[in-house]
Amino acid sequence: MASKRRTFLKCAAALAAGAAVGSAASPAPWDALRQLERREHSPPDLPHPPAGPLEHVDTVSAAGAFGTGIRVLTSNGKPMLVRANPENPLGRCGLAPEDLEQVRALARPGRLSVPLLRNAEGRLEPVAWSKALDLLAARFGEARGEVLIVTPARKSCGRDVAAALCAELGAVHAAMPSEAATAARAAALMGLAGTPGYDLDNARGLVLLGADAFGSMPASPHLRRAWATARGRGTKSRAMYFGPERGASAALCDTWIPLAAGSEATAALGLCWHLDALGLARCEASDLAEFLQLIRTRFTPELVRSATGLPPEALENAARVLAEGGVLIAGSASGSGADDAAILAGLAANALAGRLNRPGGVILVEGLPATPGTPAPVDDLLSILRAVAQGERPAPKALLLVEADPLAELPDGVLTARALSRIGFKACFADRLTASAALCDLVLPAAMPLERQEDVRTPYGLALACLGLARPLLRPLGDCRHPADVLLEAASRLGLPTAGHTHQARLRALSLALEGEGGFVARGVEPWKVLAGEGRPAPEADLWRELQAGRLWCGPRIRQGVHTLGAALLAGVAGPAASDLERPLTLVVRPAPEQVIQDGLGGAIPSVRLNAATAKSLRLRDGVRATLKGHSGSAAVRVALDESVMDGHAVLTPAREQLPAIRAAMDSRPAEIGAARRWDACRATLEPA
Amino acid sequence: MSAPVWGMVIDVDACTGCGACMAACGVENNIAPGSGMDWITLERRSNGRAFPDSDAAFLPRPCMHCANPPCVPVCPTGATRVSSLGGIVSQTTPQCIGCRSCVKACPYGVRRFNEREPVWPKGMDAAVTPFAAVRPKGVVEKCTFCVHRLIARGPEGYTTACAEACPTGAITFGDVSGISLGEDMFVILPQKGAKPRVAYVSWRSWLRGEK
Amino acid sequence: MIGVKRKGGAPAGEGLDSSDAVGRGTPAHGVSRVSGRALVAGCLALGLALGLGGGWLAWPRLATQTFTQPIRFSHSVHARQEVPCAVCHFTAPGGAFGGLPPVAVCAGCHQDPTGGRSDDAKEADKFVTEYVKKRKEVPWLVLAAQPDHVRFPHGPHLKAACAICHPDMSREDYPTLRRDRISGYTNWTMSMQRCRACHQASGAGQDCVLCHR
Repeated sequence: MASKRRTFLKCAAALAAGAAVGSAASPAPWDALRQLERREHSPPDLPHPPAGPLEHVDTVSAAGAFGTGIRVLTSNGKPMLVRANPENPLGRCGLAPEDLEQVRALARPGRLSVPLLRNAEGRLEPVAWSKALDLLAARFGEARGEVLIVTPARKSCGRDVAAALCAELGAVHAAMPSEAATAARAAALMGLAGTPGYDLDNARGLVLLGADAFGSMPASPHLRRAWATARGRGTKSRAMYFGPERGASAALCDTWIPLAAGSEATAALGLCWHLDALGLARCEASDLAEFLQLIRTRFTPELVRSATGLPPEALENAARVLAEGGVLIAGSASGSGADDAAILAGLAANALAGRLNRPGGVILVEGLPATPGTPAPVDDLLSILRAVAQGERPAPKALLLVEADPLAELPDGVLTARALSRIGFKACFADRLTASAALCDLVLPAAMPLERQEDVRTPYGLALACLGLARPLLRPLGDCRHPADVLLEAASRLGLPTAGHTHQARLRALSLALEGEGGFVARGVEPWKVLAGEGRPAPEADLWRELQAGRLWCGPRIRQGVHTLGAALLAGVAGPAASDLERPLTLVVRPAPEQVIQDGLGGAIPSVRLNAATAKSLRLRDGVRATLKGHSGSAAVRVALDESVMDGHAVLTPAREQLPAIRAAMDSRPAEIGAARRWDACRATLEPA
Repeated sequence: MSAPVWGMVIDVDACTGCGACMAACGVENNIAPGSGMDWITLERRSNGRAFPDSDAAFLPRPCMHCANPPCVPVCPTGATRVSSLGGIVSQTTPQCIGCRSCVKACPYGVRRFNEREPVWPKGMDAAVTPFAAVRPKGVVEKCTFCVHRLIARGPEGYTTACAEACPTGAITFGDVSGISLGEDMFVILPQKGAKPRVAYVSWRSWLRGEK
Repeated sequence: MIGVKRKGGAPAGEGLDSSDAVGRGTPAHGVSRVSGRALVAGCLALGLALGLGGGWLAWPRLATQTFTQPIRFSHSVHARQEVPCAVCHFTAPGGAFGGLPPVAVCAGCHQDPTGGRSDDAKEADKFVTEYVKKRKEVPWLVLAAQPDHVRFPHGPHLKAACAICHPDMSREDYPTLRRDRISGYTNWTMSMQRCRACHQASGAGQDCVLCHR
């Protein structure tokens, strides 16, 4: 028995040894080792570039607020990489991160791809489009006049579809508030039509009063490059930034003069005093005498200094910069929530210096013709939501948020949430489950840029009326659809006449309407040179084809108009609010640029940046956790000391997920002029957590 | 005409810190989203003084492609070397054994070691470009000055993705053989003797290290 | 196995392994020793043969997987109809090579089934019904696939004849494709030695970064 076993073992060992020696004499083990090493160098599970013919497709970026011309590298027709399109002058080939990352954003984790409906247990679960549309049409049909539809601030044919639907239902259409709407309102107060744009391509000087022209302003990619180019030309162009923080806008200016948020109107009127005193006022407005009387009595250097702390020399320099071929841009350092008065005062200063509707100055950009029968939306969504929350106004029976996220974009977060909770049926279009979408009963997946057709119009801040057409380069992911198409289908189920014109037909109609407007296609010309008086190209015969090819249509000439300086209204400017001991901090909240996937460097809770002196007065140290408290809500934050922030201010740049919490701690307040509310300088306090 | 030496001049006073350079680099060179492996980063420097005397600036920080690169002699496998393509310091990832000597040697901290396999969310691989491989775990990678553009299209009009995308034109890329330092132009950490080919321009004296 | 494990150590369970315990120490019989030696030698030879055979004959078959194209596309048939290469294979902007044509290019000619009887016509009809009509891309196999860290731009290489690196499609209409199961390299993957030899001979650059990125 034992020998058998031993023999067996010996045989087995011999067999193994033989096999080892034999295979060693063959290429097999060496080949296996080599292949393993090769595998390690290019592991098969890492993504490979798609193998297909590469082509360039020119179109316009619909990502972000600015419609840059883009050249998309496609593989087998699928977008792969976005670069600037040198044939589209908008942005002068400068791109924003969201333009560059839009192909990756299409596959962002958490993207919605099917309609979701809240079930009996309160959870969102997938539902078919037909059922979702039936529900939407049924609820709209029941509520009719008690429907509230909220659309993005940006004008587009898609927004016109929502407006037409509203008009036919008798519903309320509100657009998200934006600085563009505030600026257009301010211009209207002076008797001017259109939205102000700032011609930095031709300007020789720049005065920024709070306005975040090189940061969050929609036209900032173009403004940045235009101004940087002007600087690079070695001209004597000078730029001054008045604002609460040395941020992106201050970085591109020669000097930063600290100016408290919310005191831009006072500063602009103080600057007017210097224009007048230096004899640089060149204006023929009907209320000039009244205006001069106002600034001579109430905005003298001493009074402005005591109200804002601004040294008179700074304002005097700014007045010279403005008068010598410069432009003044007033606005909110947060990029939203500015007071009408601030922008009105800024426009008045430009007008007084003779810089209105001039190349290199402020140019009133007229909107593109809207589809007939689409009334303008009410722009004071905030007041509506507040009134609903406080029971002063009956809650709408149905709400539709068309790619709007009021919880992340509007202040008074607590009131907004309360208002939303009072609305019976809430639906929304979104590409992901935003804070507002998470509260909705029906969430409809929206197609993203590169998947949808979209008209991209003049971004706020640009001095040129323009239009680009973003066209779909690939089919939307999953069941995503263009909101305009869905709304039209809902309208057809309700038997409304709007359904007769498709989104595509509306875009074509817009293009046809523009052919008669006297604009031109910017091909081989720099439209800002045309604005400055260079030869104008002939209008294009087939504008639609040009737009499809990713080219830019530029609007007609500058139109001069009779205007006032708004003296009667500006007389109501009370100056900056007196310091509030209970809430000593002034907030500047700018959403951080969005990343496709958060890199986690920002941390779970948002940082609040304030300088050491401010932190000391609040008994806070660097890195500690604190609670940001407004009138109605509070948010957890982390203190980060930053000497680039002026005294008494706190700057927050929260990521999108962090925004709703911060918005809850932000309080709006009535504007100094008009019925709209402002939140450019919310007051808050910061307490150790 | 002598052969070009590729480098950058970065106008610090024009940088607003918008991050377009990082985004452009990431999508062009297949840097996994959210991985923090960016080849170009933005460093915020301040003069360390309290408000209102404070000052701050952003420095875009790509690989400096030094004339005397400290990373090259320490590499045991010769994976990193000065190429004959206008002095571009190249990194050959299949030769890299992940010893990280170069990461330690680099005074500018621009080399990145892949601690883990890069994560690409489902569907995002459609955005993988053919210009650079997706680097596996265990190798060091760094900025290549978008050398694939030079190889594919030649020196005429050669520029990097970051320089192309910069909305303020703060990054200028090109032949730096005729450029000398001085005035407002400086390099960072000149005392390390690496002779970087990325120079910065600023009127801020504190940034140049002068007190 | 149990026996092998126990060999060096002390026997743990007597009852379990009694035959082993008895056998230890008793000398083996001469006859069985002789035949045992022969057996061992035989085993050694057998093992050697197995190892050699496995390594030389079985390994190449086991380690690689042979593939055939989803559609038996004939280059020669198309070449005879004077379709230039560039109709289907085109260079992309920036000198990268398009490689494989999308189905839309094929559909330019192959729109409808022909109903022909020949093998080629049947294959063409299969292509039309399965891909063109369904608007599906053909998962063509790439013969000369390179690993991911090798970036081969076609632009600078267009002076050379295609067949220097690719199979010569005029001679070999249906070349076999064997792909290594471990590394994914194919029998047509270019070796670095060949790249280098050509680069050396033609005076092209020798920098690693020219190919490895």
